[in-house]
Amino acid sequence: MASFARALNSLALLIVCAVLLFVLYWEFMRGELPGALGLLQRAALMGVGLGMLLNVRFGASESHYGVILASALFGAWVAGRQMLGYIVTAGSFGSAIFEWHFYTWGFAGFCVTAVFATALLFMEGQFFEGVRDTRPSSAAQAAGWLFVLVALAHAVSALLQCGFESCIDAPSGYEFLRK
Amino acid sequence: MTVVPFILLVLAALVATIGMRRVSLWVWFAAFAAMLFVFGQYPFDMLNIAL
Repeated sequence: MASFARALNSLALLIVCAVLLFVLYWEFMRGELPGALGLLQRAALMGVGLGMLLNVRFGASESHYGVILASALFGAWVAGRQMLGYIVTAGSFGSAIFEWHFYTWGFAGFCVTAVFATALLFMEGQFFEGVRDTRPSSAAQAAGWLFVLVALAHAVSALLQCGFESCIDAPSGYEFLRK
Repeated sequence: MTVVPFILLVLAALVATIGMRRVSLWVWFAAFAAMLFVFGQYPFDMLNIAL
């Protein structure tokens, strides 16, 4: 049971990394910078990935799932706020992929993530081993470093876009590079 | 200010990868608090009309 839960967490961590890489591709290749709320959704997704990384690296723990659930609920909250804002103004932000904008995909994705984490919490057998600080497998170590690198790329992107100020809603370029 | 949660999350992932689980959880708490603070700075007036 523990190895099955760990495999699911590894797979989910790779999906999170793929999504984070995709939005970076969209930002640099398509030239569409995220708004302030979009950046917060990225940070929430990084929090989800961190919880999965902890499960893969140290074994399953309720607190690791707490990190995933809290991050997913926060991400859904932010995405919902952005969706409602555009419903009120009858507008939209950025490109649509399969007729949904990024924030709509974000809201759906965070809700699915919360359901996924809740379902995994019911697999009680994974908690019997407890957390271990032993040397992880090379695959777990590689997944961890991949996530660190992707997270670092997002942090650099956010720094270039906003500097140390609060980000604006509709950015036109990398503010930090203009100074 | 928006960049602070990103920096903290990178730090949390880094310390988790090198084996410091509890430190990673504490850094995540700080990052989450920073995310809530940043989100709290955005106006919600518009939503009062919608809801």
